[in-house]
Amino acid sequence: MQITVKLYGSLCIGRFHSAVREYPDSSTIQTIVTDLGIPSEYLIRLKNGYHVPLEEVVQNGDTVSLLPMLDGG
Amino acid sequence: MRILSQNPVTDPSTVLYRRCVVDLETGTATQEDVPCKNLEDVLGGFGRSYQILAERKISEAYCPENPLILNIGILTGSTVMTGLRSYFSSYSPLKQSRKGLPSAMWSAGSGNFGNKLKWTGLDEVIFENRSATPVYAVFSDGENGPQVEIKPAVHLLGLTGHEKIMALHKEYADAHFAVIGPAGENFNSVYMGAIILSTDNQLKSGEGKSRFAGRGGMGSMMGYKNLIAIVAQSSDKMGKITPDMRDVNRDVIKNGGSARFQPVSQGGHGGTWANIDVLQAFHAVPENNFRPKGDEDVAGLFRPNVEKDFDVHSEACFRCGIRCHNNLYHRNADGSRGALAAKFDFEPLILFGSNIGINDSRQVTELIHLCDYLGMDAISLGSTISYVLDYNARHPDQPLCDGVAFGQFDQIRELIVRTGRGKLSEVGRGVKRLSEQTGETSYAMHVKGLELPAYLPETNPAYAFAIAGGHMSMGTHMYLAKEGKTGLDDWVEVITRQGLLQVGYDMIGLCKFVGVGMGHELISRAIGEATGLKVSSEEIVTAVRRAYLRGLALELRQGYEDDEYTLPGQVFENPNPNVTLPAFVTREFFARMKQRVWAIFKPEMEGLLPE
Repeated sequence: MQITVKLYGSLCIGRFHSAVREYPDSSTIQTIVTDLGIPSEYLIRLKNGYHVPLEEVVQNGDTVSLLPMLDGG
Repeated sequence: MRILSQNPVTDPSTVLYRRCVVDLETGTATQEDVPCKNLEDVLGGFGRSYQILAERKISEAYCPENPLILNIGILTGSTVMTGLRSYFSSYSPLKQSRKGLPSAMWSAGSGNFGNKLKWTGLDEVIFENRSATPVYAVFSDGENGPQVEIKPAVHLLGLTGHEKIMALHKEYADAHFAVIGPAGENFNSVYMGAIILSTDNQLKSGEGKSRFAGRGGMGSMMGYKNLIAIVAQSSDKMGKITPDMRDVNRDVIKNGGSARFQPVSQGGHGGTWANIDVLQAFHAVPENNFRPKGDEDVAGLFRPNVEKDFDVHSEACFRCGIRCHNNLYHRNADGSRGALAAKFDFEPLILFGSNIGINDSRQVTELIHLCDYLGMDAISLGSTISYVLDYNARHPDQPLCDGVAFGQFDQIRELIVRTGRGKLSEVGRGVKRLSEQTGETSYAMHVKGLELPAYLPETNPAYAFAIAGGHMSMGTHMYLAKEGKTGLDDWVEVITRQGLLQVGYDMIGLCKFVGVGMGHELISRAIGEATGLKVSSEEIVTAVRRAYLRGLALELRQGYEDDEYTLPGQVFENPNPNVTLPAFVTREFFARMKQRVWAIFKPEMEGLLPE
């Protein structure tokens, strides 16, 4: 199935800003994060604009956004 | 600090800290070793200073009885990485209840000043009364203990903060400095004066790489006291790093929390600057007075775009491996690194950028630098200016401040200069007073009289429960963006459990960018290794919670009423459809949230203040 993956901030470095990628059925956010070699800690995960856990299953046509989890100062 | 036993919880009086009381009216100083009353006293920072403030009934900030307390945390000057914070506490000229009573405040800063103060042998200085003439105070490590001198400071008047520091550095080569800028000198017109702290990098390079204790007008309090500068002079006394301490410091660097603030080249996310990318994904970057437009105008401030104009270099506080500073340097004609332009942190970047309609990084750096040199709090000044610009957009026929508008760099620059030099009190006294004068308060971005940092109030209802600055004393400013949580239970839980623990770092002397909660074993381990004290994570959390609640109780004692625990009216009256995060902060939600939070807090607040 095809998933649109969007990356933000430093996560883009050496990867991409936005890409449509192929994943097997029943893939989860964790599958994508692992595939991209991104540490799953301190990560904001959105599916179609909504916050979701790493275990969230994705469907064909979904958009997954991954953002670094920062803090203030 | 003298530590006579290992257990500060059951026997806090066996830990004694060195206090110096300076009477600025007479120029005399006394010193004593003070036994701690509780674990908050032991940990230090505002946990200790607020207990002193609570013993005084102060009805106006600018009065001789209002002390300015300088202290440090238990880990300041230790070998724990980031352990270099100093704290300034007083009743604030800026933060004031509707009844007109000043609120207790503290402000924290880095630099090497805190370390040097510790190494003079002092843990706390209380400045009483005020001097009739401008003076500076010198604390040094004499043969028989800490020494104090009060000296004339007329020659420093009118200099920028950086110029004061460099002038003092010529005279005191082995010292560090806390000074005020022109803004603090003009304390009657400027309530948002910052205290400017020197750094090793600044003294070596001669560039304006200061750090700041900005919030709440502590620099204005110094100005009121006619205390222009404080010198902490000592040889470096950093202890030997033991193998266990090396492990602590390794964990400071390696824990995922601090890694977020580390340079991209180090595998981190590049400091707080990177927040702009995250928040823009939700169109939640403040623009035009906290009113995101739903466009991409802020892209000019994204790092890759700024790197086209500047050489961005990651630097650090003294001995810190987190290296969160993003210093922007001009490029010379041959491409080499030129002079420092500014340090890009999220707050000043946004509040002197997109939030006042400026998205050209070259202009933003100039405004940041100007604010820093004049010695004002970037958050208070930026949020007050954005109100002026917003007001003028709504009232083009009767504008404020000569009609300055969003995006007008030259006019805004002039406004900053006039404010910092004491010529524009309507701005210098902050947005609460200004909006009450104009009668238009709904878009004045403050809570309880303290201007909001660059995180939208509609994304953080917990601002109401911050006791000393919206994001530095309530760690919920990114909660919605990070977790997406909008439930009442979620917000009550985060305020009353994790959020309030944000203040713990302003007790112990470490920087918040260590990135772990107060309940993390790393904190307990660091204290144990640095001091020999045995204190558990649970005991630390309990003490931090008590200190926070004491601060909240002190707010109530200074006259804050329930309806002052609120957000700018615009949040409820006119939600911004451009922000793609959930809009959940209705009046009903807010009222229910407050009711439940108070129901938890108020019973615990009983007995925390002296009779």
